[in-house]
Amino acid sequence: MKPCWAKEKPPEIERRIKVNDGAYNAQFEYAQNIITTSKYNVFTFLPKNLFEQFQRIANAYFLGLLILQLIPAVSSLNPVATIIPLVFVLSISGIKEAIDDFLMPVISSLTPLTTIIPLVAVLLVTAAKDAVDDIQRHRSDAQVNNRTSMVLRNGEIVEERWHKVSVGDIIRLKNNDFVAADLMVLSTSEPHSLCYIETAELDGETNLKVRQALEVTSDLSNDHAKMAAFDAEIISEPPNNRLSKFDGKMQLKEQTYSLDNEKILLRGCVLRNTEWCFGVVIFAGRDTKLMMNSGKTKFKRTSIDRFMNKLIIGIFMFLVTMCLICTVACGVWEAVTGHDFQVFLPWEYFIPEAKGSGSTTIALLVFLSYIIILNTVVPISLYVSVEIIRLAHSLWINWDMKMYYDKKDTPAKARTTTLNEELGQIEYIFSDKTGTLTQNIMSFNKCSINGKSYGDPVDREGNPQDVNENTPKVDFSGNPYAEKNFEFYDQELLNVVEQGEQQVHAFFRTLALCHTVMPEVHEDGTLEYQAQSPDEGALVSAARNFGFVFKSRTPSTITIEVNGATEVYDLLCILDFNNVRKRMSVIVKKDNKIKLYCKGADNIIFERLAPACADLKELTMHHLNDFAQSGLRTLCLATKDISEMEYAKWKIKHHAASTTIENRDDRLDEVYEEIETDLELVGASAIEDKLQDGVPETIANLALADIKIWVLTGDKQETAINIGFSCRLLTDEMEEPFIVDAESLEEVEQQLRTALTEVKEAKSGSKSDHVISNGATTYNGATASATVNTDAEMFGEFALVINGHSLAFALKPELEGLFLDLACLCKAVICCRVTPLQKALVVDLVKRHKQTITLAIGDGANDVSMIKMAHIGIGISGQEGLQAVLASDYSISQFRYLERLLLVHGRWSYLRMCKFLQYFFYKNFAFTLCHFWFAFFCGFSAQTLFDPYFISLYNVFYTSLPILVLGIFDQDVDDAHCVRYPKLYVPGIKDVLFNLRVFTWSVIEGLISSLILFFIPYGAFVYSVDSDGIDKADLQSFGTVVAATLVVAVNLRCALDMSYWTGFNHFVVWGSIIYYFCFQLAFYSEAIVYDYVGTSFEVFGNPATWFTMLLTCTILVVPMVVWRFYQTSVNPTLSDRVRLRQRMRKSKSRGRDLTVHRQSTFRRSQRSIRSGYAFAHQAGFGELITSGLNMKERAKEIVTTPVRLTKMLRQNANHVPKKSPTTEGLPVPGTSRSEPGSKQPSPRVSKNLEEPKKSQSTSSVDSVSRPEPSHRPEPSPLPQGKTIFVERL
Amino acid sequence: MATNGNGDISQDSVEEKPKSRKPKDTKFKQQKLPAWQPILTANTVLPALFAIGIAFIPLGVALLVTSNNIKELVYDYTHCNSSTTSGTCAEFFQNTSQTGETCTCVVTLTLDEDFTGSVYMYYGLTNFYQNHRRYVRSRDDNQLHGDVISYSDLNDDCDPYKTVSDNGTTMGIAPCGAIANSLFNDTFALVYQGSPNEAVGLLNTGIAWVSDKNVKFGNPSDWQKSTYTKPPNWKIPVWNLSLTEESNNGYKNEDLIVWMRTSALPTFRKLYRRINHNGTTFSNGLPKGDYQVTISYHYPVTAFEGTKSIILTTTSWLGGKNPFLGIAYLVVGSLCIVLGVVFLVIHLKWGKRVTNFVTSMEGDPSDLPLGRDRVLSNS
Repeated sequence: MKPCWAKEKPPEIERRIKVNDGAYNAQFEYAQNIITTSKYNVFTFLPKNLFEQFQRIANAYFLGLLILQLIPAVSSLNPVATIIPLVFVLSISGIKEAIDDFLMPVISSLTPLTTIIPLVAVLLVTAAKDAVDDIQRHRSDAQVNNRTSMVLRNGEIVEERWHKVSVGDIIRLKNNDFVAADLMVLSTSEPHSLCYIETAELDGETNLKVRQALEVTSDLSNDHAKMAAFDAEIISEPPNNRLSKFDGKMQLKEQTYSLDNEKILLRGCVLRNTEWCFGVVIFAGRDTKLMMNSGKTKFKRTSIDRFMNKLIIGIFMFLVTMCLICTVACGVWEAVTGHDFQVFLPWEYFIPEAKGSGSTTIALLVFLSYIIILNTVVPISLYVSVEIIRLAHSLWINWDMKMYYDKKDTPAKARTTTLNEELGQIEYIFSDKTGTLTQNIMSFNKCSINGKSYGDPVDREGNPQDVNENTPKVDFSGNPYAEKNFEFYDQELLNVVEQGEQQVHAFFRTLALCHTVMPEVHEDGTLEYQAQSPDEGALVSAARNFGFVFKSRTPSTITIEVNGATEVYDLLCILDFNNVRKRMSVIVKKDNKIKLYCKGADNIIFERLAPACADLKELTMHHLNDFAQSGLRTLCLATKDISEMEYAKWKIKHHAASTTIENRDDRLDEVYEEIETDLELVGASAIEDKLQDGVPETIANLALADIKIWVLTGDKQETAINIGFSCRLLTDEMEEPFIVDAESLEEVEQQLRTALTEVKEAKSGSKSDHVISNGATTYNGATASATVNTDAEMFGEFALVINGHSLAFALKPELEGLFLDLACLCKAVICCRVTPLQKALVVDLVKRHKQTITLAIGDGANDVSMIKMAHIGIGISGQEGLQAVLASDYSISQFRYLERLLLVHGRWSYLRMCKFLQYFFYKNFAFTLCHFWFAFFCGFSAQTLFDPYFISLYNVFYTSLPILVLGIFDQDVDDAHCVRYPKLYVPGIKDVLFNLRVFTWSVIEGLISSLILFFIPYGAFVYSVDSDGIDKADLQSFGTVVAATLVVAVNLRCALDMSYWTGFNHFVVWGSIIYYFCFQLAFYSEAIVYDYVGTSFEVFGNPATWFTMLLTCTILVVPMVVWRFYQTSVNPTLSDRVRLRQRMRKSKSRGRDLTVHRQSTFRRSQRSIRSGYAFAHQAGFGELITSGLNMKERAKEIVTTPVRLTKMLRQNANHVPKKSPTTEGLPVPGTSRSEPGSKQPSPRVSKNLEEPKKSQSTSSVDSVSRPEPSHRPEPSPLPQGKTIFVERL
Repeated sequence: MATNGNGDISQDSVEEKPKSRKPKDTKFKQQKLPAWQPILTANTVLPALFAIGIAFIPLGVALLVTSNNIKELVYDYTHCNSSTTSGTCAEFFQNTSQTGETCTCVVTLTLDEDFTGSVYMYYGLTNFYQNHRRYVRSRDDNQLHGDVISYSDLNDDCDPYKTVSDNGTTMGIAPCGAIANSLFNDTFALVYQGSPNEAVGLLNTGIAWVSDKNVKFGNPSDWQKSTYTKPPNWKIPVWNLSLTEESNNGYKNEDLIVWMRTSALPTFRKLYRRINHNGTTFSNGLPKGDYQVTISYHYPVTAFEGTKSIILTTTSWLGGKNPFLGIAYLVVGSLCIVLGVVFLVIHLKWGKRVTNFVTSMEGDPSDLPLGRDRVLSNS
């Protein structure tokens, strides 16, 4: 690793790489393939860590104090100068010498040790914690860096750890390998040097993507010798974070080849469906696009930490004020009394003799003395205690059984220990979708065939049942191809298949034929499907399980096996899927019968049905409605018989269309449209995008806790909305979601404005009060209370869905305010097709403008940036890719644990920390201010009231343990109730438990307490003597009485704060008090000859001491009890009520089940059918299949013809077909998914706008487009469609 | 290296099975420790208030009565008329530097009633800052403890009363420091004006803390008389403080010990003498009547507006006369009763609400009265 002080490299303009030439590449010092997320190493730890620690104001403050206390000690080594010119007392040397002599005594009463020891302890504890954290990071770094990959070295393939891979190396990847660095593909095992990758880690999309090597390099194939001799030079763009774009060229033997994104495998992808693949490393380590996208690691601190920093400045001002008061008073006292008191107490020799200047000099010096004496208002132990408490809270999280996922043997883990209390203040959750909310498993769940719905399990009487673990699954064991993990609960469907019902067979035949899935037969004979999208895979699998096994395909045939009998179909044509068509068809021929099988979105299919299907259509629609309501992704299936004649005619048109050069795709679409008419409806399928367990409940409960949840996903809009519904983020009670999908700044602004107006109108309609008028001021940050109020009021039943490219505009400075206004008025926000960086930008936007705490949760590398950006980042652990977890602050293995993490652990942490801080400031003010009151009686001479040892030990031994135990164990309400009443979380969001007001209260309370603590003993002990006449009003006795009372009172006060008294609590509260007395007795005993010898016996043997103590404690505690009682009885918080209820339950010992029974889905749909259709992927692989490019058998035959896949691949990546075929090989702006961050709109953007009429369901031209279902009978707000159906049925 | 990696993996997979990462299901780790969860309800708070009230009021009365039973006489003699010179003794010291001179006052104290029991005699000073930081530290505890130390090792805080230079020879001061130097040096003699007049016996021992006398203060084995001298304000060196009584001599002199225990407040009393009750006249204390006090007035306090007084007092089991505690107990006790009554009323009026709320919560959790105002209002 380079030392950090090495000079900065100039930014790369382009990167030149010679393949297999390490020496050449080395001169550029490209980043190695090593990833460091850790902050320190052995050598930098001390300076770096210390530097970081002293950035904390408190530490710096203590260091300053320490220096102040040390000055005399340092210079006392020098002999004191004989004569100091008194006239120049204010000169530097004067002050220095003055301090020497003047502060010495202060040291003897308050040694620097009292500051040094705690300060060193704080630094050590924090450093140790940082070290542990960093070691963890080192370990995980090492885990990643030590993954092995096969590297070509000197013509041999050797196994090499990732961190030893460098730019220019050639790497061999196996199937299912993680890509180690950003590679340029050289050759693969597949025909035409294709390879497939899964990019879920990068962008969250789960469909396979295709990459293809350059033709010249594919010749290298698997030949190591050739590979070693390969000496091309690659010139590429400098490292950047654009995932979907690459510019570069390769020079080989005087020839230049251009490189684009289709040749590049990015780090974080997984190689799929490809036996092996060679690639040359272009970017490694931190230069990889994955790492460039992951954002900066920021030092995260909690809001309470930041607030405490401010408080410390405030307290310091307060301290200075007190010291100034003392200074002035001291000057006056010295002038009035002290000057004359010199009979007995002469001024020090360096003080001017004149009354005025002498008093002034003394007063100025007293200022410093008081700073030292009163500094205990900010005790260093505060920070030690805070760190200890946080550590304990982290351990609770790590130890929680209810956040342990046994299937993966993963407990929850707090990876950083400093953020716990912030978990109790989350207002915004930003969640990834794939892998976080969903399991990324699609399962065939229900279907409707010929007007009959299958899939709901029924008992023997035919009553519908809920699916649970005990529901009997359909037994597919009769089918040798059945998959073990396939679950279906309706026996009836298998029965009808076995009975041979025609329509059912047609249904499954459609599923088995109409797709672009590739079969793969493993060596052991098992059949596996490689689907471009999980939806397709699920459908083909379903057919397989029901006995319609898709076995193999060639470019012109499809072989299926129906109940043991093989059927071979001639594949005449694939009418491929794209986003506008929203359907795909195949035309097949068997036994001279030509048939078209089609599947697609419901409304698309319904428009193309033959009139004869009208009745069936309505029945099916009814079923679809049901499916959609349960959050399933639906597809309609249809067939059509085509006569030879008809087909022949159409074939000609098709051929013509497919050979045109201009507008080929549009022409093809038109031709497809012609044949896909008069379809015969077969049925509808419903696929469940399996949510993780408990997701809807968790989201519902978090929403009840006033937490706003935004879903940020790389997925398509439809998928995202669908998931939004199924996880109950969107509900039918809500208005239709606003969809923002425009592609220019103006249009986005227009859409946002329209939506905002609509929301405001709706709100003003329902609430005619002040809300709207305040709406504008809300954002500009009026008063805090107003903001809270209006925010809460306006938080209504709207939802916003925004597309990645629109988001790029919405995040611009001009629009971000508008966007944020709108988004914050919506109950749910879904951002789809967003890039990793955009995720972070969205989080940042909320973070910047809202004074709230944000949380980001995700599982993949594409979530890393947002996880790092948010106040709290949570990684879903247990997945293969570790990136998200590595970047996260907490890792949990299931989304549903978030509920417990926030509502229980977060809430408790926050509560405990608030109680802790509130009390801690109280106790130190009560303690320290006694010195201030005493100042009025000791001539403002900075005499301490207490024994210096007491001052040192007060915060460490006498009062720290009870509050620590409180901070660790306290719980006002038990965990079950925390979850049951999510509203208990709200005080955390509103930050009402520790803020300036609460702090001020603590200070005032401390101030009053110190007054009582000082003046009650004062009254009692002013002329105190004991019964033997011996006087007891000496400084040591009086100090001891006050100190003892202070310890008792402060501990009792802590006891009052405790709401959960475990054995530990009893031990530490009573223990602290008893310990104090025992220690004092021992320490002041004759065994240790200390200044205070005998004091404790005299004081504690005096009954007046105990009467005073009882009185003082009563005066301190009773008002607090009464006040709390008043609060809980007259104006109880929810927490108070739940506590009370919890106790009543306990006393009644009624063991009612506390699990939350939320209403089961009671949802009345306003739209008749939600377009929840199941095509998650983009343009299909149809052309790849028919060309036979990706089939090994055919590959050899066509291998001679140069085939360029660029176009196909682009289509594959685009969700809108290209208008014009692009020139080969040239990098085209807007290739694949458009780069939303790019300034100029990509060609696709404008293209999309020209074609709005084509897309029937999402009209992107409407300023605020809502998917108006075109088939709704009447635009009525009531769920009429459904009612009608019910009547007819 | 690479094979190593593989080896690790296989080892891991072997070990992983028995070693589950499942957290232990202990009450401690699951935060389920049995706990007492007190709630401040009317059932606990109201009885407590009344109990405190009922306990404190009689206690206050008892304390007050005890305090009032103590007889105390205070006489401020700061400006007493000199019996040897004209004017007051204060003026005598003020006008000229009369250091070393003695001014005597003779004053008559009248006890209106019998002072029964042990009677103690105190001197009281006001505006005397014995608790001033520089004053408090201006002593050397090792020296007072009786350690033999050379004067250069004395605590620097004793300055300017650490050493004294006289004709080129430097001598340490014993005991050093401002406290010792300012030792209170007025003396009193008390004569009962009865028939006949009878001098009241004054005991100068048993007036200091036992621990101080036995542990903290001690005489050195060697007084080092050649290198140590008396403090400037003293007339005699410390080793001559009580030539008659060796146990009360030197640093163990109780007058010195009492003075060295610095007071907490600038207004203070220090025990001067115990009355000797061994004789017949004073066996039951001091009978009422006139007492003549002869004061050897040496100690200047008027310069800083201090006062000096002489106090005769009896004590109770609780100590000296101080009605503060009794009154405070009465006030606090009464307040508790008042608060108890007020809250009883409040409870009867509002208490129902809470109960209603709790019972209403028995229903569906979604029916919770989740008024946001309520949630926020109490914070």
